[in-house]
Amino acid sequence: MDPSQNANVTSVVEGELSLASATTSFEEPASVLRRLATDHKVAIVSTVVIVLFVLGAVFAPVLTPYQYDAINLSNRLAPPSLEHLFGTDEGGRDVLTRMLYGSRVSLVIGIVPTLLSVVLGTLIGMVAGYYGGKVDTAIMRVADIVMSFPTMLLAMVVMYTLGGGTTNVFLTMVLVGWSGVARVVRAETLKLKESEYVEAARIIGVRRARIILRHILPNCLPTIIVLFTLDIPSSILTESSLSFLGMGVQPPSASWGLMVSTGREFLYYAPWLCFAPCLAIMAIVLAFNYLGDGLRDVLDPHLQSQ
Amino acid sequence: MTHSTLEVSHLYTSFFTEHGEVRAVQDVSLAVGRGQVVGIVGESGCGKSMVARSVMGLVRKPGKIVSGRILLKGRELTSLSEQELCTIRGRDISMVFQEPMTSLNPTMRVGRQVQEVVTIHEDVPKQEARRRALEALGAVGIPEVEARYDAYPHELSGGLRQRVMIAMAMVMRPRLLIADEPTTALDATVETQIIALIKQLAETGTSVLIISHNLGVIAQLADYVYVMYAGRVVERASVLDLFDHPLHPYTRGLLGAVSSLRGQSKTLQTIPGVVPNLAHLPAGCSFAPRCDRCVARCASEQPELVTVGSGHEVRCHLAKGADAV
Amino acid sequence: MSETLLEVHGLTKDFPLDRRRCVHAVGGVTLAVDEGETLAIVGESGCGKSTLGRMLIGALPPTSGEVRFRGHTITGLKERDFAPYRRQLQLVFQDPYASLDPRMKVRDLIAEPLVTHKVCVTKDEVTQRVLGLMEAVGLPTDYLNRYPHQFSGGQRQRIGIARAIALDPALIVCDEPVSALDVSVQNQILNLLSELQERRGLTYVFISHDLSVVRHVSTRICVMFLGKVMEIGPTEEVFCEARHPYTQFLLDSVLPPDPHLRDRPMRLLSGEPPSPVDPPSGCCFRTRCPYATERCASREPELRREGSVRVACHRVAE
Repeated sequence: MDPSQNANVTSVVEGELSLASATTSFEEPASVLRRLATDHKVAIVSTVVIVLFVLGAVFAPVLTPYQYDAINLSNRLAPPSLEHLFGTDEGGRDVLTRMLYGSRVSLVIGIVPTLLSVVLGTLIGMVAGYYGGKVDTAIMRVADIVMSFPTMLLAMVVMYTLGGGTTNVFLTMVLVGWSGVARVVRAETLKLKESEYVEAARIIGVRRARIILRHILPNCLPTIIVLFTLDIPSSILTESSLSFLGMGVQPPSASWGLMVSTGREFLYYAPWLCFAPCLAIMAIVLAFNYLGDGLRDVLDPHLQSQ
Repeated sequence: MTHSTLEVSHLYTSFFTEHGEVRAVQDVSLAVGRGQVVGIVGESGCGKSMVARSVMGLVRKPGKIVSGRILLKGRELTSLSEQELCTIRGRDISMVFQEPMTSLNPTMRVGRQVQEVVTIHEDVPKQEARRRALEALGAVGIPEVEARYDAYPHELSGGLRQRVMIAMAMVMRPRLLIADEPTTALDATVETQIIALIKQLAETGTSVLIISHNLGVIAQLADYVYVMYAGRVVERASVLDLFDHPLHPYTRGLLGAVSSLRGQSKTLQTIPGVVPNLAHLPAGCSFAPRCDRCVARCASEQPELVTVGSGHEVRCHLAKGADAV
Repeated sequence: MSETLLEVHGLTKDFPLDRRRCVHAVGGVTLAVDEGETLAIVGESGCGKSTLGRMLIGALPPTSGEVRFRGHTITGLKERDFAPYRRQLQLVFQDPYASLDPRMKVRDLIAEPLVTHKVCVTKDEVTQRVLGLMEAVGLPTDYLNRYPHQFSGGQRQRIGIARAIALDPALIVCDEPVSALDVSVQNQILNLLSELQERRGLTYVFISHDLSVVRHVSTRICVMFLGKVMEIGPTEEVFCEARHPYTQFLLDSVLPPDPHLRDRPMRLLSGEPPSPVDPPSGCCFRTRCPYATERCASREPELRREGSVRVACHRVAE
């Protein structure tokens, strides 16, 4: 099967009608949004949730009157009230405030290392796929080894040797993250390499680097975008897990994983300490997953007909 | 033609897409008599395959039969449930598709696939089903049937696969065989074999509805021909009438295009322009924008199908007889 | 007689299947293409005609044999040394849907060869050339900024042709250029191709399975079976008096669009196509040939001259 049949629109009618007007163009973001809105309402809801989280993170100081690290021992472990919507923690700090600030860490760690590993993985995957031969074998062996390592274990090794902290969390996640992306992009590149329009470009005399940039990359892009949105939640989870284990972000900085970790001790008499960040993690992870699914359906021409 | 095997009258099939209603089939009426081979010819997008799918009850969402009647031996098909249609498909009507590669299950031995058709429709012992499958495979000219019975589809050539498809279609001895571009994916030398086989089937009393874009196939096989353009039948005639006295400008254009390939002239005859978009059909005759004989009336008024000779109908304002209005 | 533009000698191509076996797609083809002619290569699927076509323009390296363009050997050249020939040898694809990058606008698609070979420097110059090419192939120039999916099959094929002629090549291999198109559009493209040939002095190698198209467009015809040339000669001569049994079968299988001819007896080819992995000994057509004798199994017939035609058949040689 050729990958480039995406132009062959409205395949519902199976070759009978090829409607030139039915623009399934994935080009314009507006049309992607429109198609998401008609067929994937959950994805739109997810987008709204994500946007709300981002806004919350950005405008945290405006949204809350409290400081995330302002200790108020007279008001320890207060249950949710109008004053403190999600209650306070063992230091009397407002949980909602800490969650808002914590979302900065979680979102940044969710997005930035994922972006880096997607960029890195895409480059490596395209080179491996297009050049093939020994280059390909070498790169893919390394990727296999990285992938065969349990992520958490590898992350823990890195954190133990290099110490905790945001930068090292970043590093670990990129170190592991690129391999999965590289695999998918390589497979996609192999497929596109055999496509007629890439052959057509070669016959015209277009050089390799340009073929990769002008023909392979743009046609991989939908896959890459989907991969990106689907990788973000796992990054958020990894960060949470690492922080939970005490190897990620260090107090008094706030991060959701850290909050769950400290809240765990008070699970019986102050459950809100654990539940609030847990719910936040769940919401954002689900939102990114649903958005990714929706985007995949809209952007992947092969799934369109089904 | 009192006892037609298949009678379709005023069939409308549409697709309801986000870009509005796409009228794939409009006001199509046709009849296939016993042992008759009826051809539908037209270019891609003219709705010819949709007619076949409508008859089979295989129109997929967002497509739907909007109105019209489909009678198989007098039995109305459009009102049947999916379950009832399943008992009819494969037993009373069968269909052969263009792609013999994708229409067979790659993980199942071909003999079993034919046998399965029998066991689905009739409660017969396995031995009997196998015997009938073997017989059907033999009847479509597959050599060394016993050995091929256990072959997987990929082990067979394209021609043999299409024969297996025809065997599957014919094993229940249906009254009507619908063949949708049955030879388009095949090589020329194989095409002639398959055409000879379909001819043979018709001689034994099976009615055949053959759909093709290839005028050669139609000329070789069909007794009656319907020419479709943009969802409508534009001309209907016996095969000799149609090829000898084409009346519709589109039919003439098609025949001219094909026969000019065989002529001496350096420049080939063409039909200018492109097929109209079915979502935005012109108000009048859908062929008007490409027609060299178009008059004012053609652009505004949809012509009716009128009879101009014995069994010869045409949908054109300029046809003789239509001018009397 | 006009000059030879392209010659190939003993061209073969094997595609490995696994460690032991391989598909013998093309097995020792020797032929020449003259300047300004249209050489048709016909045969059924799997006969190696597309593989041969790709090797002719250097898009696929042969397993053995050589291709000479205007006397220069072009096989085995490094990418940089091959670049000047790249401009001379172009291809028109069969599938106008798959051969155009769906994410590029028409202007960029047609400009790609010009930019790649630095034919034009400034942006204005490129646009002017692109517009000129669009006009030459009959595309409305206001479609400059459209994407391929907004065009019909015929128009897409015109884009493909515009790309092929952009570099003023000497030879274009047309690989089934009209078989994906409807009858009425097919003729438009064939007319365009012959018009371009006249105006630009192009030489075509026209690969097709459709014999009526081939008869119209070609001056010479080369019939292939299982990677080998069966018969090659002037088109009219081959059509009027086919010498090779395979050519005869092929010509007989053309379905005339004339119902008066339907009751003529059809000659059907018997047997199954032989496998290109394990071709028959001797003549590769012998397993399906009604005239095959022992000699056909033991010795491979050479292409032998019979008047203006060359045929590979023991029977004809007598």
